[in-house]
Amino acid sequence: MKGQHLGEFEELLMLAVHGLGDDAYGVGVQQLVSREGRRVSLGPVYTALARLETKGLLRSQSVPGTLQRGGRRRRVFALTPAGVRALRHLQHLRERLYGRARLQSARPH
Amino acid sequence: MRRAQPPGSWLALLRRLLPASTREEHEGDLIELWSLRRERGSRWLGASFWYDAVSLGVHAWICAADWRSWSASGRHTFTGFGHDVRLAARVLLRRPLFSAAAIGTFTFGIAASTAIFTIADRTLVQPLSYRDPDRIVVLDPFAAVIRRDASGVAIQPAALTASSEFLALGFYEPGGLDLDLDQLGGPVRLTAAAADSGFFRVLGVPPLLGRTLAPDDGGRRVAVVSFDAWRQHFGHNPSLVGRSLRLSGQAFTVVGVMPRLFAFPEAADVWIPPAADGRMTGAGLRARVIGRLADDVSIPQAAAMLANVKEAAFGERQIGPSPSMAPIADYVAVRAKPTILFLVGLVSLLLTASSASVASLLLSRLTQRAREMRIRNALGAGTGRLVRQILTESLVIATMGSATGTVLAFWLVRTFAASLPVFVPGVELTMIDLRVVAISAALSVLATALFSLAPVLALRSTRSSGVARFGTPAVKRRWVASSLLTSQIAIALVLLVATSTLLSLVVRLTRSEFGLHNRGAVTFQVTLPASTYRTGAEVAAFAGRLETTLRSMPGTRAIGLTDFMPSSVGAKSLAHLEMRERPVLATGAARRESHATMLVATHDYFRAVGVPLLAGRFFEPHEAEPVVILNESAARMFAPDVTRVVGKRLVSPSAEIVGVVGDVQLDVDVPEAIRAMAMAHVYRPLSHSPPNGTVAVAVDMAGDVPSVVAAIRRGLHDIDPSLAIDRVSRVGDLPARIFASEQLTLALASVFALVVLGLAGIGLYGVLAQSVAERTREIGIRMALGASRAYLRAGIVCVALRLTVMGIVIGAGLAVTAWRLAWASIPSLDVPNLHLLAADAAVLIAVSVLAAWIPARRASAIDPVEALRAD
Repeated sequence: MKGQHLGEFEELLMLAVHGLGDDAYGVGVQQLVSREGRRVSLGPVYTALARLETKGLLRSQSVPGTLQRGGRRRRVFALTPAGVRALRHLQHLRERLYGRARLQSARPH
Repeated sequence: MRRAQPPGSWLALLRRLLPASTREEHEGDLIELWSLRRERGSRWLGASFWYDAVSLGVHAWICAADWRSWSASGRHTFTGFGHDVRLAARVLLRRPLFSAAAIGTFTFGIAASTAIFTIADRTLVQPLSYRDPDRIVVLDPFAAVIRRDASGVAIQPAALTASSEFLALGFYEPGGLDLDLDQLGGPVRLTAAAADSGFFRVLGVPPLLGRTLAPDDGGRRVAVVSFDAWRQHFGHNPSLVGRSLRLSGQAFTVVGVMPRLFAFPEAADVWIPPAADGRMTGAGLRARVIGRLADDVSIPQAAAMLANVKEAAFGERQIGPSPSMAPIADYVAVRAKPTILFLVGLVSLLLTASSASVASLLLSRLTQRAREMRIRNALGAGTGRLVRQILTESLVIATMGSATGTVLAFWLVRTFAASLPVFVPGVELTMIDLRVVAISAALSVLATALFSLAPVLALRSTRSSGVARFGTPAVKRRWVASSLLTSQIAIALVLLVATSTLLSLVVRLTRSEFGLHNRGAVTFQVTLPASTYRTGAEVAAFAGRLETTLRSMPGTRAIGLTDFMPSSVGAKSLAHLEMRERPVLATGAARRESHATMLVATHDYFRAVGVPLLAGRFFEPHEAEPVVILNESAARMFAPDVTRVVGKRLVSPSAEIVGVVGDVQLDVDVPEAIRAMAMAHVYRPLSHSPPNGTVAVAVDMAGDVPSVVAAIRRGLHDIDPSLAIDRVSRVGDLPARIFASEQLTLALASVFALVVLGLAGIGLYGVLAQSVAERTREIGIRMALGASRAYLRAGIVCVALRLTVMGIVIGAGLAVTAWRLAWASIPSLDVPNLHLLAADAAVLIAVSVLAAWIPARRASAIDPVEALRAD
């Protein structure tokens, strides 16, 4: 089913959300991904997060904000069970493919 | 502890940018990002903030429907604006021909109006961006004069400068002086305007660099450079101030650079003090005096003060018209203003007509979509919902049309920028101006509201009769359609009348010869550098040598010299004429004194350019006594019968009148009020009063223009190899050159008129074709009852004619009103005559019959049996 496929950027965001735990909101995710080497601005991050939520891989809730954001509320994201499954499935798929690729690339040496 | 936050104004603006549903969360995100960046010491805090804000805003609006579904517990609602837009786009895509017609019509209207408004803005509005332009007045030539004597240049009467009515007074030379800027790669011709320090004080524009002219600059060779000249010739050099430049062999020091919008007088590249160039000598400078009125002084008050001051200064000798003054706006783009205002009027009509045309297109679409509307209504869509859908479709058409129209307008302006010096010299039009884009956007919104009104009205009218009967032609909708069409026809008539009136004006102007009847003669001008030709005697000697040299060339029939080019830009010196005795006894019409423009001419000048002798004689080659020749207008001020002034003596200037010649039109760029006074000319022999600096020459020689010009260049080279000729033209070509802007206007007006005529024709066709389609059954019944095909055809054509005649009647009324408005700004405009009006009406009737013919034929071809069976 097409809707359940994860794009590369979506995968990065899911991983970031999972890694951040309770602190997974827009700016946090954007900062983490940017810090780890993918420069991205806030608009696309939110677009992708909204898409993932529509696919049922993420859920979100609005929580009171910190002083750093002028007390404004923030929307915190978390993985749904389906999201965890999709991520795990992708990880296994990747590992198998990477494993094959390593064997093959090692052969000529 | 309160943490640092972005400026409050940013947050306020942000609130408008973001949709309400997610506003708080996104605001928080942006604040947080901002403070993170600030802690890291990022350099582009503001830019990054707004980049993020726009990126978030775009995302939030695109997802608006989805976001709303978040808050509305996942239920998708079909009420979003985005949904309306998508639906509208789908509807438009499904009917590509209709959409192309609507958007194309709209594009043309917006493009034409944006282009013309850009021109109007650059030429009429922006030049007036001085501080309080309505307080700046230009005094007429009789109100004040400039006197030059040993002590310097000063405004007369002197009491004027001390008066409390003016905060500041100054003067400038409007004609300009051609100076050659010596630079690498050959000399460049610059136009210099003489001005004093008061001129800059009056206009109140601070310089971009350096300073303006100071009161003690009097005779110094200093110059203030215009922005355009600074950019074109000095490459934006910021250290230009203080440097020296050579203008026509004289070294000038640059003291300042003016900002971009400072262009007064229009053509000026540099401003120099009046005494800086030796050519500006003689008794009276031909300058205009400008003043800034004190806050509580009105123009009539200032004029009354001026009259008192003049009477105190000159007493009994003060005769002539009472002094007056006009706001500076009257002197900006004097020549182009009526033309541009005229075009603005035409293009507004064009925009109205194209809006009406789009409205009728939408209306006819609505009829075809009656079924869709009925179904949607049955499924629960209220009238308000349907109206909103129609408005959205109009908005989509308007947005697309104005987007393409704006692009087309900039392309048009860019493409025609080359022909724009025709309108106003030195106006840069290739730049994109946000204000004009804003105007065009506002126009598109206005037009949307306008042309959505018709379908909405029609839709409302169906409510009373019940949406179920939407498909039947509602009386009100037909009424709306007819009035839209009538207004289009009326506008078409106004445009046709405007075009044909303009055509007759242009034909009249280009056929006129300024009073110069020898069309084959060649005129040109020679500028004599003050460093070589210091005195009047030297100029006179040069004139004599040039005359002898050119006369000795083979094929020369006549040669004459003067100090003006026909229709030349610039005010000439006005003289006060007074006659010793009354030439005509005791009639009210005869006067003893008057004012006239002083000109000079050599004895053969009138023959060379073909100015007829009306009475008396031309000058002799060597006139010993002071003599003058009047032109017809000047002579008529003294006596209705011009032969009676010959032999009479003038007291001022003291001379005998030896002849009367035909009128020559001189200044086409002065306000209409002064033009009449400037039509009276008095010629003196050139040897008695040699011109300052520039001589104009007319040669009547056998051969074509290039060979004549080559011969003239050879002759001039023999006399002084450093001199060059410019403004070469055949006398017969002068009108076409001078009235180029009127011709361009005519071309534009014709295009507008043709487009509107085409739109009206297509609109008429559309309405009739639709009415025939709707009345198929009725026509079938009438045929079955014995109506003849010819009768039915005539019936359809009659409907078209009725609409057309209604449009013509309304249009004729509009045209007369429009003509009165136009006449207020262009008094030389011809009265629209009945023949022209009739011809234009005939064109409209022909177009409407043509448009009605196809539907009429279709109606008469209806087979009654088929028509009735189909139902």
